[in-house]
Amino acid sequence: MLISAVVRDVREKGVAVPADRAGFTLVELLITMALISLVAGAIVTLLVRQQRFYRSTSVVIDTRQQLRQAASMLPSDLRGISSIGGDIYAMSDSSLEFRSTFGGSIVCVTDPGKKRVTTVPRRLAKGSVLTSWSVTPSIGDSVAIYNDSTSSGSADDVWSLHQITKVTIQTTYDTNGCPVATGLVQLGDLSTSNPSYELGLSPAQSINIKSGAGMRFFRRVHYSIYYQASDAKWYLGYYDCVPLRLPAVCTPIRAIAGPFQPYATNGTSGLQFAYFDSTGAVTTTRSAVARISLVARGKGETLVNLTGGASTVFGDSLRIEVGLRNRR
Amino acid sequence: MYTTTKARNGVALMMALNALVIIGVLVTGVVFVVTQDYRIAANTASYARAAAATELGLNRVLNEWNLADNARLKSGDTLQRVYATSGGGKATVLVTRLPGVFYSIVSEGQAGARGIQASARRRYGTLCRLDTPNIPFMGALTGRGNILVGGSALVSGRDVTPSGWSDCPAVSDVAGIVMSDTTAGLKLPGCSIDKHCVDGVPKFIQTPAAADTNTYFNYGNSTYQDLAAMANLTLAGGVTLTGIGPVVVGGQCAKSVTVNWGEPNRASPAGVCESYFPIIHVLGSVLIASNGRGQGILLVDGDLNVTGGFTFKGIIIVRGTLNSYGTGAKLTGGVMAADVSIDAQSDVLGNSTIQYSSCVVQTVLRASAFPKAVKQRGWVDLY
Repeated sequence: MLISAVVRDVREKGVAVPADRAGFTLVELLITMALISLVAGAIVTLLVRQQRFYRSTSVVIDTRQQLRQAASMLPSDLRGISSIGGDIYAMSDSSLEFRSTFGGSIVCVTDPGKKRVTTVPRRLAKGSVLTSWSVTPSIGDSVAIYNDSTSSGSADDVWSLHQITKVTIQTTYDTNGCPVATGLVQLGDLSTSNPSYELGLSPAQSINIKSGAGMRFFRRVHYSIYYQASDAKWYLGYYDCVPLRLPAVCTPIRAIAGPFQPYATNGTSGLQFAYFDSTGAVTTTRSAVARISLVARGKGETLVNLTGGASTVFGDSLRIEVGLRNRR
Repeated sequence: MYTTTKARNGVALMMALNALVIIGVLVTGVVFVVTQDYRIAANTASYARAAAATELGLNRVLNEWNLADNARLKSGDTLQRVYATSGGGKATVLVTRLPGVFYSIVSEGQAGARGIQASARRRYGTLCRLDTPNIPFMGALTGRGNILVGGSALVSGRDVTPSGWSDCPAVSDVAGIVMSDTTAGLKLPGCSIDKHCVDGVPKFIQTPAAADTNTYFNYGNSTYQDLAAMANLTLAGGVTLTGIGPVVVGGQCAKSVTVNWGEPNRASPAGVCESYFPIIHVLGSVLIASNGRGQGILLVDGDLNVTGGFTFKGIIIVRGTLNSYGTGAKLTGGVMAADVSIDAQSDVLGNSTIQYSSCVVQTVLRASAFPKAVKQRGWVDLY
């Protein structure tokens, strides 16, 4: 009673008192909730669209990256093919098997028995690059050596093919290594880290192969569209073969780019090879191939939606035309 | 009147900031992947441009080949050329002379002017050889028609290396005279019974190849016409030439002077015309009527007549006949006379000498040949 009387007196007399209205009115609350809902809805919509765009962009980029990977790996291997030199072992719309050159060198000396040659070292003080390879040749690898033959012209020149039977490191400037008298090395060029390689050859070389002749090292390689059972997808498959290699001459096929669209014969294959001769006509003659065309078709692994419309499967393709540099 | 203190902290600002942060992160992510994609594409384009620059280097160094480098470069010697390409790219080409007829050409192309991220380098190599004509010298003098050797003349297939000439193959003797009919077609007036005015291993060869015009005009990958098309000096027919010899102007070999046929004599230090091996094409018959000297390849569409003591080291191919009288020519290398006119006869008389030299033949052929990529596997991608 006493408190209520005091309060009434205070109100009636207009005396200020501390406010005690800490909450919202119902109207304020409703308006706020409505506004928050609108803003949150807009943000969520934006977020969803952004995430969808991000995912779609990633799918597009991944797909194109796989196409580019195939495009960057194959041409450097294909460009060095000598079709007229018999480098193509087999070719079809889905696969290609050929001699892949992985390095070159120059004959420094040959032995009198013509069963071995030595290479020029990789680094020379003069700056010349006469020896270069992606991997050091090993036993079982193949080598083509330029045979100048007997005439002064080039009409009778040939590349003779040999298998490497032995690889020995040489660091001397005598006929076991690389003599200075050849002009190909200077004192100081040879070292244990920059040696000359003595290569045993089978069969023996021609007597017309002399110092200065070119060498090309190669392996048999295989590219094809390849179905990988573990994930049920199609890839660019690769393997190489080296005679005498253990435990198996050829490595198991492995995916090096992809996934791509499945193999098909209706023009939608994930990888499609085509072969043309020097006139531009399609050819099935291996020795006549002058240009190789490769179409790679990639497919996104998930649906994409870049425009806000319906989600679709993203597909892209890349065409590579490789002119063979060694076809003459 | 009264005032109240209100603590009405809203959430709109915080939500807006949060939203901005989230959107910012997402946009950054998108920008990042798109930028990466762009960079990959830019690198791919730079890679292609670098490869094109590299190929350009390989081709231009052959197109702009200086024949003087054939003799100047010894095994192991290098030659560098730099070619600029559009878009700021360049190709650096290093030519290395190898033993024999071979050259290694390595071209390194660079492209990309937008910094390291968009730049690319490629390196290709080509093994080249001098594309020398395969002229089949079976003897010192090969004739399609009759041949007359008399007086004090000497035709020898004994292989010699002229003094001072280097980088020569091992000597290998050939026949003195090669023709299709040595019985009726060869006349040796004045020679003793053992025919000492002709020497070689053997002295004579009788072969149908000597009657075949292909022997004289087709040389494997090239022909007489191909050589003529490469001529450094083209002279009118029906002329008399005198004063042939090396001409040096301002320390340089004056190659535009029509009587400058190079310097066949070797000296130390070397004369500037020693590395000049011209191809001389005469559009008809010619008379060389005085002493003089030269080297190279002499192609004569008509008859070659020599009356003075002219010295020439090189290859001589005559569509007509060779006639050397009096003091006579001193010819070292290889000589072929196609004798295209009926009943033609080549005369080697007086003190004339025709001496075979594989060194001279090979040196002259190499000096006159352009390098080209060897067949089948000349090109290689370098790592």
